[in-house]
Amino acid sequence: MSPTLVCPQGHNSDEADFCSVCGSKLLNGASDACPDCGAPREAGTGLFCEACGHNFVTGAAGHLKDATPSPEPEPEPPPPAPQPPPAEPPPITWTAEVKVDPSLREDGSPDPPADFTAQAVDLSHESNLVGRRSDRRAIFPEVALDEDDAISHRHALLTRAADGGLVLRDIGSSNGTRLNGVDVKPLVDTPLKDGDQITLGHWTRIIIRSNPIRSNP
Amino acid sequence: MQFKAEVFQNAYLSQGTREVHAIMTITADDTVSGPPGLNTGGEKLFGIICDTSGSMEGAKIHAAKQAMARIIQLLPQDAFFFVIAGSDHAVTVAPCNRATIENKQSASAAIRGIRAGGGTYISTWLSQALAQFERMPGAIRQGLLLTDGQNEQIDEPRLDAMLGACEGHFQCECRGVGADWAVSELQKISGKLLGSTDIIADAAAIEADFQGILERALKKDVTDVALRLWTPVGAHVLFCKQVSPQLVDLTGRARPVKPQTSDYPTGAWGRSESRDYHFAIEVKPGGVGDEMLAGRASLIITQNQIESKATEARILAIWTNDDSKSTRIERHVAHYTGQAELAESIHQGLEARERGDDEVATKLLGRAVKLAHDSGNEATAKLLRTVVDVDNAREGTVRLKKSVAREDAMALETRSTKTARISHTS
Repeated sequence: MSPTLVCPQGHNSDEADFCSVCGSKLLNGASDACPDCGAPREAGTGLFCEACGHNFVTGAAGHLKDATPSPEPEPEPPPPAPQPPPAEPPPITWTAEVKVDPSLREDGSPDPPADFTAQAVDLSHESNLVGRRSDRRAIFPEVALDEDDAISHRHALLTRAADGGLVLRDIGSSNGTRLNGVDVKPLVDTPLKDGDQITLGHWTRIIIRSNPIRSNP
Repeated sequence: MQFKAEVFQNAYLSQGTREVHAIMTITADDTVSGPPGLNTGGEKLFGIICDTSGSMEGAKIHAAKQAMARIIQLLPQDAFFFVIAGSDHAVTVAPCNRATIENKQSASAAIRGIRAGGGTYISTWLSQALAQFERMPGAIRQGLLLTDGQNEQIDEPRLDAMLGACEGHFQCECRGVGADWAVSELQKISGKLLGSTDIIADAAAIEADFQGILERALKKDVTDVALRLWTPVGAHVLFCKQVSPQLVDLTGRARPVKPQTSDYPTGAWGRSESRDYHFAIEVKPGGVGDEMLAGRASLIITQNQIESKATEARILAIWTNDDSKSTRIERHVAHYTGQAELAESIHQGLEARERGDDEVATKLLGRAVKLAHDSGNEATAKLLRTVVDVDNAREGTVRLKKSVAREDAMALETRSTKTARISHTS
C-alpha cells in the first residue's frame, strides 16, 4: 500500500498530484517550483521566480522588479567547459537551433527578416527561458527570439529533467507553442528528443539537438 | 490501438468564478499498440431492424428489401448478422448467425418474402433485437433501424421502458424514410442507443445509406467505452456533451460509479476515430493564487467485466486577479459553445416557424446562418439555405422561404447536430 498523502485541507488523497477528495494541489516536493509557471526555484536567486517574476513572498503573479538590476548581457553560449564543472558533468548536452522559416508565416504576419542567420544556443542552464528580451521588464531569455513579435516575452521553458532529459513547457504564452506541428498545452511538460521541432510566433522554428543523441526520452 | 486525450481550456478564473469549461479531444490511434490484454477487432454483430408496416407498401418496402439484401452480401464472412421485420409485432426474418455464404443466401430468400402490413409498435422490434444482441454480449453490437412512420401512441410508454432495457446492450443508427416520421422520436431512440438519426428523403437512396452505416460499423474496434469523470467534493457537473463529430448531450446519461465519479457512455470506437467533449463543472471558488483540480477525465474500457483505463486528462482551475489571463476564452471552448448555440437556434427556429411565429423564426434562423458562416460550418449553412433566403450571411439577415419541402426542414433538423471541427492549426 502506498503511503498516505495528505492534502493542504487535511484529506487523505489517493492521487499524488491533486487531492482525490477536494482537488487541492498537493505540495509534496513541488513546493520548490514556481506556482505561476512551474519553473524550479533555484537556490540563492532571491524572492522572485527567475523565469516569470512571480513573487514568492507576496504570491503576486508576474511581479515586475522595481529596481532593474544592472542589465546583464545576453547570456552567451558558454565556451566548451573552460572551468571545471561544479558537479558531475551531465552526460547529455542539449542545443536549440533557431531558424526563421518563412513557410510558417500566416496571412497578416509581417515579413520575416531576410538577413537572419540560424543560430545554435546551448541549453546549459537547468531552466532556459524562451522569449523576447525586454530591458524595461528585465527579461533576458536564454533563447532570445527578439525578431519575432508574436513571441511572448516569457513564452516557454526548456528545462533539464532529473534524468538528463529536456522538457518543454509553454508558460502561458499569448500565441501558443507547437511541437512537431501540434499545439502543446500551456503549463504542461512535454519531454523532448533529438530532432524535435518547436514552432512559435510568426515564423520561428527551433530544432532540438542532443549530444549524444537521445531519441527515446 | 491506443487512446490519447488532450484538454483545451483556460484554467485561469477571476476571483469568485465557479464555472470551469474544458474541451477534451480523444483520439484512437491504431498505429500504436494498446495496453496488453486490450482486445481489439473482436467479433462484430450487425442487426437490421426494418419497418414493414402498411405505410411502407410500394416503393419504400421494395427499396428497403433490396438494400437489406445488398448489405448482407457485403458483410465479411467473419461477421454476424440478423434481420428483424417490424409491424404490430416483430418477426425474426434471419436469426443471429455468422455471415457465411449459405446463411446469406437463406437470409436473402427470407427477405424476398417480406410483405408490408400492420402498424408501428417499435417497442416490440427493439425487444426482439435485444434478444438477438444478447446472444453475443462480447461482440461489437451495431443495430440499424429503418422506419417511415410514427410509433403508435399506445406503444409510447412501452417504447420508453424498452429503450431503458436496451441502453448499453447495443448501439443503433436510426433512419427515417420519406417525411411522415417524427424527428424527435427517432432522435430519442438513437440518442439513448448512441447512434445518429438521419432522413432518407428518397427511398432510392436507402441502399447507399445502409452501406455507409455498415462500413462505419465494420471499422469499430473496441466497444463499451465510457468516459469517467471525477470531480472534487462540492463540485457539480453542469453538462457533459460530445461536441464533435456531432452534438450529443450526455449530461443526463451519467451513471454514478462512486461518490464524486460518474461514467458517461461513448459506445464503440473505430480505428483513428477522434471525438471532442465539452465539460462544464461548477466548483467552489478558491482564493487568488489557489490552484485546484476541477475534473479528472479518463476513458474506461470494459471487457469481460474487467475495467481498464485507456487514457486520462486533467481539468484545472487557477484563480487569479490578472484579468488578462482570466478573461481570455479558450478558442476550442468558444468554437464549440458556438456550435451548440447554432444547433439550438436551428431547433428553436424551426419550432417557431412550425407554429407560425415568423418573427422569432427569422431571428433565430438568421442567428444560425451567422453562426454557421462564422464557424465555417458549410454543411449546415447549405442546409439552412433550403429554409431561408440569405441576404447577408455575415450579419445574419435572412428571409423565410415561402414554401419549404417538409423533407428539407427535417434534413436541417436532423443534421444540424453535426458540428464543424475546430482546426488545431489556425
